[in-house]
Amino acid sequence: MAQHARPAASGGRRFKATSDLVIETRGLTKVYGEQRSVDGIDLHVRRGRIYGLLGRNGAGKTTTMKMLLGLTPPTSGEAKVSGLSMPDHAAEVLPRVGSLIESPGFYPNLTGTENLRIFARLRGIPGPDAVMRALQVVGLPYRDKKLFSQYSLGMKQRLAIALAIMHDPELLILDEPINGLDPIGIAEVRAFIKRLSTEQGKTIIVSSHILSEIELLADDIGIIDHGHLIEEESLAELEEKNTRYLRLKVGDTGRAALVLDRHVAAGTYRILRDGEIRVFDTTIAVEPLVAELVAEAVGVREVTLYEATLEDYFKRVTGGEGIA
Amino acid sequence: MTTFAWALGALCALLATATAVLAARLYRAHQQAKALAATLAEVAAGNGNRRLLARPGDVLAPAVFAANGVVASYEQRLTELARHEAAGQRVMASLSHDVRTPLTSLIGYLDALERRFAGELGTDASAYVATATARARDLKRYTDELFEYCRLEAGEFPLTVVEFDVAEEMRRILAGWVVRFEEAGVELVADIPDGPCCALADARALERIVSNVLGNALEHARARCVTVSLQRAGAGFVTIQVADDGIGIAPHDCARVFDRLYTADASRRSGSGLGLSIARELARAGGGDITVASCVGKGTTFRIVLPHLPETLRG
Repeated sequence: MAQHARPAASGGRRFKATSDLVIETRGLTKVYGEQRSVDGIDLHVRRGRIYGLLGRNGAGKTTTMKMLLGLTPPTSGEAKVSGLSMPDHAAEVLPRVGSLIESPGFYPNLTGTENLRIFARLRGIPGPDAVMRALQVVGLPYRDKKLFSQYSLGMKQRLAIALAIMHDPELLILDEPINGLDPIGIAEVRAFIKRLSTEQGKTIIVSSHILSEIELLADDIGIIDHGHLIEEESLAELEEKNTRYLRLKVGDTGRAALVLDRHVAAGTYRILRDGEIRVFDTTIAVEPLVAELVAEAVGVREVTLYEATLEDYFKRVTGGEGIA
Repeated sequence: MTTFAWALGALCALLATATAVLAARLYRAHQQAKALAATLAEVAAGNGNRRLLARPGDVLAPAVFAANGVVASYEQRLTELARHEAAGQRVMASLSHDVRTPLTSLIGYLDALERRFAGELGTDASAYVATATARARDLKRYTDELFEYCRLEAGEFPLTVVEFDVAEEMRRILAGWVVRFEEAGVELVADIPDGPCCALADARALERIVSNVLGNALEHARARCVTVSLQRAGAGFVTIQVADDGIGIAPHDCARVFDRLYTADASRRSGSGLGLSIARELARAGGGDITVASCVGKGTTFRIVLPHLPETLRG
């Protein structure tokens, strides 16, 4: 009987095999003086997915995103967006990217609509009613009289997101997009980020220090700590790892089912292919079960108890805080 | 005279400015037209989220906006289709789990009934239990094949293609089939070389391919004898032939036996019609192939081709 903590980084390899990567970095590193803020990160963001970059404050999330946008050059390594390396191809790449990173410079004495119109003139827009549609998506009124200086923190954040999506970009880079929003605002922003992905197939990378937020939003997750990317996997894989179960490999699953029905409630075990059985009720006494399986000659080849280690793992990564 | 000169000069200056402005607008329109063409080429290559930006006053703005609108609406429909497809695959995957567990346990109970209470059951009851068991097993085989096919379609059947001794593996696979052939009263002849015969394949996929072909021969060929032979075919390939002396397959059916859900025998009672298409998908996914040759009344030969490493690349 072996107790297993399964190896952490295993999904990364498969990400690399996918040719359809919108963002790909190789050994991306940023050194500020003595500080290695970002240290050899290999990031893989697949087309049409929401990628959650999870890490506590100061882990290197913002610096990584800045390098993706060409706002700061990497010390070493390479960042490619849509196959073009940054910051060299920033002029071609940036019109295709929407970003929210720190706060954009809005004029305080103009309204939200007027502010967006200025950016529309400067950068160009994809359709005649782009300003109105962007405001609609984030739930701000079009042609409202309120000046930007009178906006609440939440409204300012919404306007910044409107600016990020106004030109209908194929990739969104959002650094802590729910910062400063109230609970209703958080739910709304989460819903429209999801919608952009499911309805329009946008690729989105979102950073957060809150595990539960990333869990609700992301398809793929990258965990970053002290400038290192320690894990990169799909949420489904992470969740699978997070379940506790007893794994049995037997020759005759039909016979094994008879024995299992005497030990655990129906519906708490699953028979998979190739003689694999998973028992999700891990409170049962394992030894009598295995003894009876052996006695019934079901051909037990393997018994393994998988225990969740990921919660502890996340705790270590996020320093025990921000797990809500 | 001087007034005229002034007027002429002013007119020239005006004309020059107008020409410059027009030239600038023309240049911008030209650049934008080029960018539009390049963007649409990227859309055509599969990136439906590509947009071109224009300022509201630009000459080409209406064309740019219209193109963006068309691309966006098509992209939305494609995304929706992809979402439905993914949802369908998820349903199949969870259905596969939800069906397999109770079905396996049902077979377990029927087996136990047959095994432990054989003496207590009457002849009729025993026959009923035996039939129920056989039907449950048919159902399980059918669903297993269906789910396997779905998994293949969804690209969730990871193959590990490595070089290994196919002769040894074939002996192991055939050993598992001896009893079923004996029960069916069909002779199974194996012509496998004694020494190792290496090829590139995924062992699990190979077993599935061979089993599906053997199962097909057993159930549908009405053969007296099935011969399985393994040979080196030179030129970097190893072939496995499964030849039967059964009823054969008509030429127009021959071309379609690997098609999904295709069954040559309209009245056939068992099988999902997926076994051979699974075999072909697996063979091709592993870099090999499977072909069929048949002669009505004389028999059918399936030929599985596996690549092997050329001698020069070894070591």
